[in-house]
Amino acid sequence: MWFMNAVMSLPALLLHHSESVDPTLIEWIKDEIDAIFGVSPTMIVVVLGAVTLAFPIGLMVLAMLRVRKMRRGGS
Amino acid sequence: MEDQPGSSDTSPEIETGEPESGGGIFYGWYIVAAMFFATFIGVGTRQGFGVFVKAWEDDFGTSVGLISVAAGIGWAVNGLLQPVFGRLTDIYGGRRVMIISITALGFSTIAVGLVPNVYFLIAVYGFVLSATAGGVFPTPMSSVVSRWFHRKRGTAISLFTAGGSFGGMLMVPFAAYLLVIADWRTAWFVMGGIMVFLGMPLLVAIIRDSPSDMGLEPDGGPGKRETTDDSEGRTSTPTTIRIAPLEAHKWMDSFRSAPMWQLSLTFAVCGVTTAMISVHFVRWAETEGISAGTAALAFGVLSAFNFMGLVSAGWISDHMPRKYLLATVYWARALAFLGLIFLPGQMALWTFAVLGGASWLATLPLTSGLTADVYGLRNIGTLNGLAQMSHQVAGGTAVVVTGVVFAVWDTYNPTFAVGAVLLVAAGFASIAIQEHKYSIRYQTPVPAPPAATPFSVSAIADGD
Repeated sequence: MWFMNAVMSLPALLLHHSESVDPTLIEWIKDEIDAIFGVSPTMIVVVLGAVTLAFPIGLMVLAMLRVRKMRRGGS
Repeated sequence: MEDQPGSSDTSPEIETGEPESGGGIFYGWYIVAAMFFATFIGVGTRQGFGVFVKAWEDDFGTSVGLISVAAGIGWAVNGLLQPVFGRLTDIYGGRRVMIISITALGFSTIAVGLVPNVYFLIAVYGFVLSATAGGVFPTPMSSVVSRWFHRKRGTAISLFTAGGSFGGMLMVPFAAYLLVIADWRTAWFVMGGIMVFLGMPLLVAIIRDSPSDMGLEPDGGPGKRETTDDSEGRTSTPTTIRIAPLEAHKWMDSFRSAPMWQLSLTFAVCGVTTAMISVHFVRWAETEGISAGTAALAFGVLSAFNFMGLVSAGWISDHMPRKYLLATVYWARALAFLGLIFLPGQMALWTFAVLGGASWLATLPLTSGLTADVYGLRNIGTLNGLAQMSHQVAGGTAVVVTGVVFAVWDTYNPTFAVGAVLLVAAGFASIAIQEHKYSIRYQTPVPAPPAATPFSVSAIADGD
């Protein structure tokens, strides 16, 4: 009986795997963000989205400038 | 084999003289930054799976257990395919593998937003998305970075790996708030769109398989070998080389030597001990009378120490034998496990958050770096992939065994004790690696043969 219970509980245990954030943890993070910043979810999405957008675009620009400099014999 | 794109940049490593002395940031760091972003979105999206479980339960009218099958299958598929992506990297080059994989990952992420029921979720997330994610991180990235960096290999690997930590910190809340303002389908469309429209173009624009593709040399050594002397009088002609004694033409030959077994088995112990904690940490805390919120906070602290430990370990390992640091990391984690058994609840929790956190991901740059140091670059993708597979398979098994043991004895102590014993053993196995004998970093330079292909080899400075 104990073995069946253990086997039946395995899928639920797998839910907490490192590949998938713990639901308890994400709830806590959301509560903390709400408490600290007190802004609307839309604003948080916009800010995080802007950071996510700015990093690759900025990096591509910097890399292109670097390559151009190398082609001009800068390195 | 030698003519294949991915394997063109192989040992022996040639010493070309002094490193690049100006002209801006070495291009290899742009590659590391691009990989950081790809890891950030790739790992972050997969970690965000847990955010959507409740929404799927309601929408599909299904159980948490069935949804969890998608995550479980995804873990297995991702791990088992690592050697395949490693081999593809060795044959076709990491750039192609990563670009195709992140494109497929992006479209499969969008496809998750279209699934009509839990069975399609299992098929798309468990098989397609998790498989394609393996083609992005970590095996192909480690292989490419190992070609770009020799002296700063540990630092470079640790920096792009840190993208996963940041992905968890930013992408997961991003997904959670997207779910609040829209719905779960929109959230997956947005995350997939980020991969297809930002991640893929970034990799196309920046990633190159080896420094030779851009007329450069590893670590920012002087480029343009065709030019004997540049304007500042620096010579770029290879003068001496170091040859990795264990570098083999066939990857299977690597398993005839001890270091490959030592690295794979110790990395499997890493998988066992991180997986069992990732899955059971909050539940363990509850058995100790600690609230789930406090346990979650401790796990957040662990993540912060994880980032610091990761980057520190990578940097320090570039300045000392990597095996000592690897052993220290395993022994620190062993202490953390012993703390879980013998210390009272709250003290055990915070001790583990600090000690366990600092050692959490630090093994990756050390193991990957040491593998490249000992076995060279010819089969580095396959070897990294095999080590990664051992990590994942052992980790998945440990999760199941830990769950069964807890169900039977109602305590985690037996599995934590086994984890501590394995970690102590892994530390001794790491110490036993004959790094000075086999690592290319400690080989005596010999005169470079005249026929040495300039960019099929790479620079390594004296004194490393």
